[in-house]
Amino acid sequence: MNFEEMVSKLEHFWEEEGCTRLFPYDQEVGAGTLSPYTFLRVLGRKPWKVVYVQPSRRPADGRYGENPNRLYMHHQLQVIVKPPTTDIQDTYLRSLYLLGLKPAEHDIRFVEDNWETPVLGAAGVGWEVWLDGMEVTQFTYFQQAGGQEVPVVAVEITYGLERLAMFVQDKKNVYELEWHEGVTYGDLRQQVERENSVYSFEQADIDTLVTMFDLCEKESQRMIDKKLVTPAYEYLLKCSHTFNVLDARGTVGVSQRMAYLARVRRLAYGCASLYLENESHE
Amino acid sequence: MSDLLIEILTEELPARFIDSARDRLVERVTTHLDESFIEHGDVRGLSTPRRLVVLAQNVKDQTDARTSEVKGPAKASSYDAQSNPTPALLGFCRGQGVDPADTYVVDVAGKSYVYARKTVPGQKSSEVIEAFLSHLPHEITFPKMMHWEESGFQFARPIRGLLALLGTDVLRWKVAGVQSSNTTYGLRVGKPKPVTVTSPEDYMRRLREAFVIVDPAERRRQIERQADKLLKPLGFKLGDNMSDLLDEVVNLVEYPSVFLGDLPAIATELPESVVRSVLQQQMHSFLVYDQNGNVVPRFLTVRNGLTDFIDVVRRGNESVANARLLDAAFFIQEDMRKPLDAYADQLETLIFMDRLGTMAAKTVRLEHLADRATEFASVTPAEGATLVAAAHLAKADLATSMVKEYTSLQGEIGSVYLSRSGGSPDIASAIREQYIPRSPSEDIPGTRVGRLLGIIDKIDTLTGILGAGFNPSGSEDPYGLRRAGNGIIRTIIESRESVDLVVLVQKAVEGYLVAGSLPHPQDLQQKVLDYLKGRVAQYFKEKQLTSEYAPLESLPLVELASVPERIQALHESAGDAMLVTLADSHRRIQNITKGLPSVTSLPADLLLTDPEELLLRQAAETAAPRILQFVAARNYPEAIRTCEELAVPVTAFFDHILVMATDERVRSARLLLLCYLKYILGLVCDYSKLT
Repeated sequence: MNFEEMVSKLEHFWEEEGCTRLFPYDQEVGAGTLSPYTFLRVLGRKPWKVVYVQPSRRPADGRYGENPNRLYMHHQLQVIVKPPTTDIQDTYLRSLYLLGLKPAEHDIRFVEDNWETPVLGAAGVGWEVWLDGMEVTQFTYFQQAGGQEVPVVAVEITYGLERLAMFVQDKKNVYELEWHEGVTYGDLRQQVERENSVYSFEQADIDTLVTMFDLCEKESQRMIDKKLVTPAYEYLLKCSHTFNVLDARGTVGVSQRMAYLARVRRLAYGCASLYLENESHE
Repeated sequence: MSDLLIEILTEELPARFIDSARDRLVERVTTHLDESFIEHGDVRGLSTPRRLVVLAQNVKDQTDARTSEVKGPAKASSYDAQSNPTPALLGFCRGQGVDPADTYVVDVAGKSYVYARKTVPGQKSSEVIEAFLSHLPHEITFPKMMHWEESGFQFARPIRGLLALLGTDVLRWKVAGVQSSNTTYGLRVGKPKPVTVTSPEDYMRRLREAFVIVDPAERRRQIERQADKLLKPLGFKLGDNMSDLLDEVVNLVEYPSVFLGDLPAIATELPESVVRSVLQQQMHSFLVYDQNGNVVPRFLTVRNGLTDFIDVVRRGNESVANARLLDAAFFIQEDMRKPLDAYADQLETLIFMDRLGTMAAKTVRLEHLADRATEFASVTPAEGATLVAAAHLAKADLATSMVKEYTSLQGEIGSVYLSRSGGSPDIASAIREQYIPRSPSEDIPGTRVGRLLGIIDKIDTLTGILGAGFNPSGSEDPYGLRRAGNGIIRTIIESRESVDLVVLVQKAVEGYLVAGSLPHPQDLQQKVLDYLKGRVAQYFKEKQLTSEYAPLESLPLVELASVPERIQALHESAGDAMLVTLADSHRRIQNITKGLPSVTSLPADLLLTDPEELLLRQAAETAAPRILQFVAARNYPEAIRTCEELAVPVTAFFDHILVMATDERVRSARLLLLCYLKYILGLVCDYSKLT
């Protein structure tokens, strides 16, 4: 089963389960959780059931296209079910069936792994799912977002698509994965990985990025003041990615690092409160 | 009589929570049964990663009728002047359903109260149990809780089923939207099918048929047996100290199947500690050894499930082990492009602890302490030099990719990198040993420099944390204070090497003050020393030596290393006829010299004239140099015997001499003599605390 087939099967499965299929958010994010489809929508009381693929960028994890497991950008399939159904774990296991992964033929485990992103004031409780020892999914019950206890819990299921595909296709190197018949992951991504690694580790212009961060922060705050959540949050995402590049570049000192994180957190809390405020007016 | 079965079925509980939650559940059910006067037999707990279970045998179906006495208002406020019942008494009687005429008066602590005796009729046990079941899940708390449904109920993981049977009857029970029934679910294989349990006796068998072994002790035995069966014919075995990992694995599986996997060739090129970390921590798997204790390129894993398709599971685990070990090899290779020294320079970017500066600052403090080691420990110039060099590199590995990825390998990695690049083996050992002992079962460091580096590092940590105003409380140890304290104490006691903690702590406080910015420096030295004293007492308490330690509690901390030898010597002297007299003498001396300081030498011209006091003076002056000598040579049995020589003269002194003489010069001479004796005896121990 090639990469794109695997992704469509999973998307289709969750559509059948009542999830709306969305397209990836068109901005750089460090994880599917940062997409407003997760971060904002898990707030408040409104039900939300979606599935979407989210390319996620982690500049510090770039390895110049040379490491078989680590990537500057990887792909997550993100499922949000809010409020969760009581058989959500079984539903997830059925989705693995579709990929030919039956519990009786493998060792599938839910191993404690609680997740926390202090920058977003977000925290959840859950597991990493092991498939014959390999971590293929993060399964989380949201408990906090934007620094507040969530009134209605959302389940977030994050499939690590490269990991899962390597398992399904029995490949040791991510670049050897078949994406489409006759087209490998390497054909599509290896050069991009190399270029982005060179950029984030060697070429990123620090002064430019620092200025960009400042400008985006200002614009985000201005939009919070104007009570426009979406643009405010989109500029927060730009701040977050800019910081990640600076961090990978290795120029951020300890206290500076804390200060940057605190600035992003302030915006995140601002956006979260604003989102809740708007919801309460509806 | 019927058996009672209670099962809380959950999504996978964290392995580390299971044992204590199960024990707590047993304790609560037992208490509820007892407090409700329900007679019952044995109550046992069972558990798997997905269920907490209580099984109580021979629960009586009905409670007996009983009478109970209920305290009412004071007699004074129960009757008015005409001896008529007041509203207070009437209200009490109404509440208890008794007639005021049937009450009686009882004196309680000199005051009279009205009492009512009432008959509580027998109740159906099922109703009583149903009443307490509704509280039961609320009484189980976990270190980390979550909510998942609209009621906001908190538990470790979502509850998905409740099974409650008294005999064949289903008890009504509802928690977090889940309703009790007589069904549960087996191992997650195939489509989930309910398993019907018709009676408590039936439960374990039905679950076994559904591939769940609900008794953790049996799962453990099975794992051990299966591992044995695989390893014995090959002449292999598991490592020692595998008990913690085994406990964890028992709580990760409902139905264990053990298999052996092959490690990739790369494993033989990696340090054993790295391979162990990858396997044990990341894969919950076991390293395998040959009979000579050498690692063989195999690993042992416990699958959750049957042996069907186990080759698939094995291949998967082998490739995960391969990927992780390759990853580790990659990190090591990248890290080793630079010498360890270069990483020491990067510690500016790592925070030691909130408010306590960076790891670079910590390194400077450690070097400062290492440099002054001769002031608090006995070290040769060569050891001193090794210690300073080791202190400089001690934290360097925290900046390596390998330790960032595998934090538990701190120390280990620095040591390996230094050895592999041809550095001093002594420094390498010390870097590794600074974090030892990590657990109560682990031995203390094998080298003196390693021990000292560990003590210096832990004292620095303790001082910083207490100085920053973080105080340890409750059972949690979030800053590792307790572990640091215990490590220091065990290292000193078990190595029997003296360290002058008073001086060391003083220097540690100085180290922070030089750097500035310690929020709470006042009395910090004393605070750290008090904390350590408390840990020492705790150390002996855990060894069940509280009363043996009592005579030694007043010794200065610098003597800590000799405490076990002194305990041993006192133990050997326990049969001495004179020891009791000596204890009594010491007590009398302490009582009469209370508040006066010890005196370390006597003036020649003391006004002593009576024979008993002259005799005592002579005995003291004969014994003192020998006691000093024996204590210095750590020959405590002889020191005690010499102290015993003083028992008779002291007794004679107290029997014949009035210490508080009217002549002030006489009085002070006698007190001085006793203060001197207090000093001499106290060199060994406080005999008055002997039991």
